[in-house]
Amino acid sequence: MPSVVEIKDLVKRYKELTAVDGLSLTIEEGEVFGLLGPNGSGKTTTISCLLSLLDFNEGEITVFGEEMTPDNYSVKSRIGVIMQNVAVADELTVYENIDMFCGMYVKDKAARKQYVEEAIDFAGLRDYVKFRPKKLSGGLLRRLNIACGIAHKPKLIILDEPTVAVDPQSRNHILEGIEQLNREGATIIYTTHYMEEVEQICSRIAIIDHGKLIAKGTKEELIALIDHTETITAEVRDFGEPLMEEIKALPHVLDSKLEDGRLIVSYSGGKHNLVRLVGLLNDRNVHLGRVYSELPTLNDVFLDITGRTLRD
Amino acid sequence: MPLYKAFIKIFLCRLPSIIAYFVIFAVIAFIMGSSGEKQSGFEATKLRVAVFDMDDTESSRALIKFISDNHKLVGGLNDREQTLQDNLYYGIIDYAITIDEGFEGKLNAGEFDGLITTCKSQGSYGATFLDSQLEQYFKLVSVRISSGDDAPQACIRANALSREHVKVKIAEASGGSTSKFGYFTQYLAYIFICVTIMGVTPCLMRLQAEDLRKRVICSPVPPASRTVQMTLGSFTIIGGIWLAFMLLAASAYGSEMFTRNGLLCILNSLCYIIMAAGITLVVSQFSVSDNVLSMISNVISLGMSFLCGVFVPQQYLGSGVLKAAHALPAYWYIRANDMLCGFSEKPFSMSLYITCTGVQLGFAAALFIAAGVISAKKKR
Repeated sequence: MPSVVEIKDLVKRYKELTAVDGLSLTIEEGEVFGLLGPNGSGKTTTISCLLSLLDFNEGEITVFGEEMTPDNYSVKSRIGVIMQNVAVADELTVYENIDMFCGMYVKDKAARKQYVEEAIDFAGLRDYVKFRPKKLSGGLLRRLNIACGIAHKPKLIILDEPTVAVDPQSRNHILEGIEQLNREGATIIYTTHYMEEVEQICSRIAIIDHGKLIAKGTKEELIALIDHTETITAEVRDFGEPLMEEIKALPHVLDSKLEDGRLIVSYSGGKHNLVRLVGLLNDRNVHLGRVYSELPTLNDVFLDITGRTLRD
Repeated sequence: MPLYKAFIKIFLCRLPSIIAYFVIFAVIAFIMGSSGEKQSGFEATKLRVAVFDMDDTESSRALIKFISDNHKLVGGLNDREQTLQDNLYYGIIDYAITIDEGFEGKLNAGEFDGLITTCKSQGSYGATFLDSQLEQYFKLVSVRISSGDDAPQACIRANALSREHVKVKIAEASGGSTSKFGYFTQYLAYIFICVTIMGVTPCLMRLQAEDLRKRVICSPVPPASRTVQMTLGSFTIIGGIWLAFMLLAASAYGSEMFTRNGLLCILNSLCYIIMAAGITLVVSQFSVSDNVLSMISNVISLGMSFLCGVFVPQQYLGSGVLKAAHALPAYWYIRANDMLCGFSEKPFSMSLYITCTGVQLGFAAALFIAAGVISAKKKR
């Protein structure tokens, strides 16, 4: 697949601080690319450089095969931007706001009208077209922000943390909408610090921290980067400390610990780990409560690589 | 032109408050215009006078006629001194005259002492005024009696002579005929600044707010087009404000407006509102709340108005204040307006008028450049 965005060795410095440090990414046509990282990791700076909102110190950015510059309007016309902060005019209604942004890309009045109507339906704002932004809830406001960004049917859509401070219902609506846009042919760049969202919608993911790319690939590829493959948690009673050594001696066990009456055992590969553990605990007459197994998440990947969780 | 459309829509959304400003300012301008109408003649004050005639002769009746010609007679009062004092105290009368018995006889004998007894408010200007009128009257009677008239004839002739008044006409310094419209345009110096700042700045600030600005930069609208659309929006609104005030003035002072001086006043106000647009653009570069904006608008408009002679005529301002005012555009606007409307003692001079309007346009150009520089610095 041809690449839509290519970032090579991008460096952005703010005086002493290096916000983006030699970042290289290739985003291919038709994918939903997740840019995952904790707050302050350089996601928004990368996006700002990509959109030519910021000058950068080193590196190269090409979009649709053309160098991205502030006056490359042919490229800009094919990009839809949904900023982290809601960027709408408070005095205009929902319809007028979408029409204003769509009007910056689409000159033909009839086509624009149709695009605006479609964006309203897409964002589920049909009942609010005459509302001013101040009358909308946080979730609806985010949807309006998205409608303003995608009304002109862009080929590349960049969403910078679009679900911050959004209720679960609106979040689901937004994520489903992004998947729909992707199905309709748009390439998506999605930045967030919520790993669940990235896991849900992104086909490829880049994890960045302190402006550096620390891992890149599909969810499965990223998880394969770390040793542990499964975590089993069991609520236990009458658990004696000597038993811990027996558990650590079980095949494929990486680590085990007891926290608030819960036994947590992590594994690296292997099959039937749960059966083996429960069998041992039954043999030693340990009373069991809930027992469950979890596969590793991107948070585990981030924790494994950086020693911190995504929300630190 | 999506930004231009948005600009106008944002303005229309704020229109009710702008209309409120417009109405308040229009009423102020009209009131000031009406109260500032120049006095074209002179009319003497009329006092309320009670007259008690104890002589009841032709001469005493001639004196009463003289008093009634110049003042308002109040009848039906008691002539007791205490009652008169009360009436004076309560403002029912301003002056009481008792024509003593033997008035005509004394005049015929050439005696002018003890002819009348007066009761008045001591130290009042009105009483002193009537005292001097009576003194003048008796001098005329005395002259007529000395020349051979008897008392009744002398009194009648003195009456006739005292009816001759010198007509007073207050001349205008430069012969301008735009006084009412002139007062209206005088206050526009204050109003234009307020209305343009409160009307246009919020629209510019909304569209230049950081988040919205960034979002617009991401679009394929070039910077030059953005500037053109915003400037066009500002000038549409500012032009509309100017036109609205001119139409308002035309409906009230139409005949005064379409004279040479009136048209020059209109041109002067156009130069001034262009300068006001410059101030608006500079103010809009700073993101401030509506309350702070209102404060800024008041400081600029009232400050310039007081320093430059909008509320207090320039001839009453101190030389130090006037020197400082030279550095403010409103000074040049008022100077041209004063000259055109006859509010200053200096005659009209086209070269001074061109200087005044030119300085205002110079200020406007400087303000536009300043706004551009601030905007460029912010973008960096």
